[in-house]
Amino acid sequence: MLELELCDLAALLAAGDVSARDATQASLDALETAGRKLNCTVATYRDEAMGAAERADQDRARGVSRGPLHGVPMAHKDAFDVAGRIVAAGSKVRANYRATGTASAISKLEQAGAINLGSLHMSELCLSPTGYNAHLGYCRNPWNTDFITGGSSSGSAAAVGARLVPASLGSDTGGSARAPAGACGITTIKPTYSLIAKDRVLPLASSLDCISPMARSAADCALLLDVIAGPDMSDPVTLHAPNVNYSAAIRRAWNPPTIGVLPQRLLGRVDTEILAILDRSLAVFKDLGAKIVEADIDAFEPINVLNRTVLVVEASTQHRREVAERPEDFSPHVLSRLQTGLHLPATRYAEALTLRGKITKRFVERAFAKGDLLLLPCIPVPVPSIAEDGEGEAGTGASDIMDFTRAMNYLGLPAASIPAGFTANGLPASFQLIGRHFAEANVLAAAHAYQRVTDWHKQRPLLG
Amino acid sequence: MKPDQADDSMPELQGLGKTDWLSPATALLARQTNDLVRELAAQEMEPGLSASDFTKLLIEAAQKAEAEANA
Repeated sequence: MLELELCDLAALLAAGDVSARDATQASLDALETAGRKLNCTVATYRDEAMGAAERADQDRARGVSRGPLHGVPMAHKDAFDVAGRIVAAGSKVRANYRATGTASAISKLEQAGAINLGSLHMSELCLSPTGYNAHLGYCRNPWNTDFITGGSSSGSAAAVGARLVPASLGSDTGGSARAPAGACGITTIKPTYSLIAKDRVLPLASSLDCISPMARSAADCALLLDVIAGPDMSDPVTLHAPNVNYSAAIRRAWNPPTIGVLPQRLLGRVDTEILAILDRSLAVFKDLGAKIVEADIDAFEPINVLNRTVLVVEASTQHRREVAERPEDFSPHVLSRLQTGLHLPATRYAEALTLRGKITKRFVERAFAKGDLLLLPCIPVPVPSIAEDGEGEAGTGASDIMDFTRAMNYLGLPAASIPAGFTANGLPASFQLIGRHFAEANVLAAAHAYQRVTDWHKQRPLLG
Repeated sequence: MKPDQADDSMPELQGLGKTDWLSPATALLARQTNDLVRELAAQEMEPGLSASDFTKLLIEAAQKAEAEANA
């Protein structure tokens, strides 16, 4: 049962071919055994989850469906408030924080029938691209436990990749869902900024943060977007978001897109193994009828710096009091990043936000002048080992694993991470597909077409 | 005094003067980030720009996306 993708499990549950009780039991057991070995499980809510599963089965027996996720077990990054639960966000300073309400995104999943099994590992306060957490220890990559998972949504990626749960919610401020998805061989989409309500989710930088569905396939992500995306009064920034049926959109007749790729001068720091995987992915799209063109865009680094400016200032604002009063409760690399934010002038922050519209408009006009989508690297190097990580310091240096993801948060564009092969170290590799604002349906439709003719997303790790 | 001169001559007003309690690496990163964004802003800022430009762009894109989805 744990092998089933989200859409398939939901269909079997709806048909009564699988019980919510069995599905929930299987995932809970997996989270408490393999999940502990991988260090991706923070807490499980066994009694409540099994109670919810019993009620789901009783409802189904009476012909009552709560929605498209009726009886589906899921677990989520430990950044989402769940009423009555400790939500520590991988941090010592929040070790006693007990949520008084539930995040809208989780509530919507539950209203659609999903069962919340527990909380998953994450980088401390979302602040490590590698998934390092000094307080919880490393989350282990299910493909090889000596390697990083990526972060900060480390537990979500490991749990879905290891087939412990069919799907999970993570969050993404500079690549925090896409990088771990890429490292663990699963599919995710960072949506357009403001598509999904993020109330009661630990902010890293609210001007950049996005909730990301993390699952095995693009079709699974579309189903999750159907449930959680769209206008929501609990987070007014979403009020202009469109209402779209993503599952229906990706199954419409395939209309091959024109896909833009980066000019060679912007790929100099991408590892040759990753470049070869990108080339093979483009060949698949060509076979599917897509036209490939070179996109006329500039280097991402200036946009990455603007993203970093907004991120560290807003993160520092969130945690300033604790930084001043309890600096010893932060790990050194997290404290360092927060202190950076405290020492940037207000004018730099205001400039970064004031320029956002102009720079985004220019990027969109140039990036999509000839094409519908962009295909970019996700992690530009083979997944690093834990030994290479240097207690979370890797990923902030020369071979930054988020070089190609950060900019999309500043630009607010939807960006999916799609499994596309393996590097020589046996770890997964992926590419990003980027669309115009609110073009999630187009991004996922292309990813879905790719996954119909490839099986990278179906490969599973052998857990010891 | 031009804004850039103010940045250079009065770093304490920019929050960058008292960085002795930061690690050298953190102080360096703060200064580098400050310099890069200041340089970028010097090239890109123009009268009439506003943080709400980005929101306007999103609203227009949302209306277009919904119209296309319902077409």
